[in-house]
Amino acid sequence: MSSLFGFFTLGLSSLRAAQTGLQVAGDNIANVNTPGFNRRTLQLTTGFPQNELAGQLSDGVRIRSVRRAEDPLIQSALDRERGGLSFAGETLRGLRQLEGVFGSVQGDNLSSLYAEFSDAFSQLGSQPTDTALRRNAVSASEQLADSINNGYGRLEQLRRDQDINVRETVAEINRLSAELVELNTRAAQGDPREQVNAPVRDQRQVVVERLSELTGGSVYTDERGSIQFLIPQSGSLISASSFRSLELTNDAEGLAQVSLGGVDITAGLRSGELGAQLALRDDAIVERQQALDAIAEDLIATVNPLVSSAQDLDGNPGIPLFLPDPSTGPGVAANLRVNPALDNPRLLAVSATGAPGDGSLATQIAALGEQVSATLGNKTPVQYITDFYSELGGDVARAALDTDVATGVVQGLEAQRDAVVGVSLDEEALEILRYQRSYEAAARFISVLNDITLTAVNLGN
Amino acid sequence: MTRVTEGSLIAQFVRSLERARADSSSALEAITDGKRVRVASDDPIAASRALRTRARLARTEGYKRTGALVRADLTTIDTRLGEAFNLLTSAKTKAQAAISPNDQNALDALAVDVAGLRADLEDIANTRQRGRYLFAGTDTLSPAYNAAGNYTGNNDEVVAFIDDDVDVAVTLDGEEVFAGSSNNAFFALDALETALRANDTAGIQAAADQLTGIAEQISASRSEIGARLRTVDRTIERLEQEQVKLQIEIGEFEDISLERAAVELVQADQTTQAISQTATRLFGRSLFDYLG
Repeated sequence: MSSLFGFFTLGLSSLRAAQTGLQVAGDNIANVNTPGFNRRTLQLTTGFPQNELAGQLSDGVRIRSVRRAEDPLIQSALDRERGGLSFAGETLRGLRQLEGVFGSVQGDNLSSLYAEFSDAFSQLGSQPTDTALRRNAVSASEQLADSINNGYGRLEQLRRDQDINVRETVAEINRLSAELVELNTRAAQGDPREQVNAPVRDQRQVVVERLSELTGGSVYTDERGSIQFLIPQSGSLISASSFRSLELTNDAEGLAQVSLGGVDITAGLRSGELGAQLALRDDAIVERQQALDAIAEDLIATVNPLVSSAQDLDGNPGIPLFLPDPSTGPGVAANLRVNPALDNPRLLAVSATGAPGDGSLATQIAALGEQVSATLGNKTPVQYITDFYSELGGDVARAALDTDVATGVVQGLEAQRDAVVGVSLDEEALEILRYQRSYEAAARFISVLNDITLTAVNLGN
Repeated sequence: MTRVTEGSLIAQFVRSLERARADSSSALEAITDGKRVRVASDDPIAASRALRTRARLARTEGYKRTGALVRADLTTIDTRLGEAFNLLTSAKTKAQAAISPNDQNALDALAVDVAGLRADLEDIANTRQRGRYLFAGTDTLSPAYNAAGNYTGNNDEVVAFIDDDVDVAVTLDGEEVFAGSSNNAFFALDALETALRANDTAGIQAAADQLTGIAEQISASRSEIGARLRTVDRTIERLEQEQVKLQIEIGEFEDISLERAAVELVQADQTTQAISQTATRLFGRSLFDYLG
């Protein structure tokens, strides 16, 4: 190295290092907004030792590696919390849709329609021969039945929509699983300690994040740098170089059931977007449908016996107000309607004695809203409907709170992760300045060498 | 020291701006409709109370409407009973006038008057309101009395609830009013007419005595109707007071104070401006500006 020409090698290594440093800074700046991109840093090391007269010097600078910044602990926590956030967010979206089915507090809703139904029969009780009041009572019954019936239908539609979401989510999970396995294989090539294949790892991180959102799964990285992905309470979805597809089968209602390795995991999947979609479809919506069924059953069971035991305006035996009659079990609300024969309101039977001016049974029907019913869990219909609304509102509010909390946690972890792996433009500006100066100094060094070499060559002239 | 990257700052800026915008939107919405609670999730407990109170308000309004109908029926009954009382008093006056010596022509003229009064009384006994006979018990679609003066209704009452525990009979038992204690007003008037035509002083006197008893019966019925009307009026007044109270309660559960909403809107607007200005300062300068 002590030859002048050897110094050129030293200058060249310096130029190369500065050039690579500028390239790394440029790469960081170019990808400042790229999802999954972790900042790179240039790892330099001193060159090979050379014995010189003055002692040991190196032959310049060597580029050891370009390191991809990582914090596996924070990343793992973030992936896990992303699953929680997407579960809460998807649940909130679904529950808001559910709440929308049942109207505002001020407008027409089940509670106000039940009150109108009671009011219509209360007035009919004092004027049972008034045809307009009879028509009003039938009309209020129709509105109440339609509200229950339409509410059930819209819930069923939401249930079917969630089923479509489940199918699409499962398809996306399977596609991402296949992609992750391929990226796993590519990322595992080379020495993991050297953080090679950084772009592949970036891409893999994007896939992992999305899979975490969809499933709420956990990630484990083995010593080769391969990722294993586990779904809570369901087992391994992805191992180093293979994956198990989620399989779909249809149940009796035509709703998708999810299996992994031949085991039905539908009931246990309650994390990530998929878990939220299943919970909405199989729990939240069904629970509200059951509530509507209970209200419909209660109407049929309490109102129909009264009108059937009464006599209409012409003294004929009463006919049921609500159909189907009798009816119990799932789906009653879906079929609830007012007896079409009551288009003739004279047939509405409210007289206990047969006398046309006797509206005592209408008065009894009006009072049903405040009478405890076993069908409604020993609550009055008014109380049951009010509780129905407040419980749904409470669920939405809780989901909103869960979403806020999960958002805060994810944002906090993202900030922590960003502090380690994010690109800071200020830093990169300084890096550019640093390597620019290095490059200029190296170039100047070579220029000086050139002058010295020329001087040396011309010594003999 | 924690590294803070542009990505973090931008994300935080966007989140803060979104939150401020959401607050602005919420405050603006509140000012527009004055409501704090629109759906149950806005405040489940307040919404639940508001729904219960609205149900009670609807029931109160229903009772008030029923009360107004009942009042109209009872007022008609009271008016008609007053007319019946005057009519019977008039018949009794004519009977007393006939007891004094009269020629037959004058008695015949009085008999014609009494027949007219009987027709008027029949009209009163068969009073209809909104298609219902008010003195026929619950047999409201048939006249209470036939042409012969026999009661054809029943002795039941049409009862209306004008509050949870307040029921009022809307009809009167026509038999008790016009034919109570075996004193049938129509038969008495028929007997008076017959006695007048026959110049039967004893018969006239007997008919007059019967009419006195019937008038007292009608007077007692009017008192009963008066009592019912007072109950109705008291109940309607209470319902109106309750209605106001319930509306105030609903307002407390659902409404927002406009002043508060306006202050929240101004706060949210100022926050938005502060965030925007901070962002402008923060992102306006970079080390790249100094790179030559």
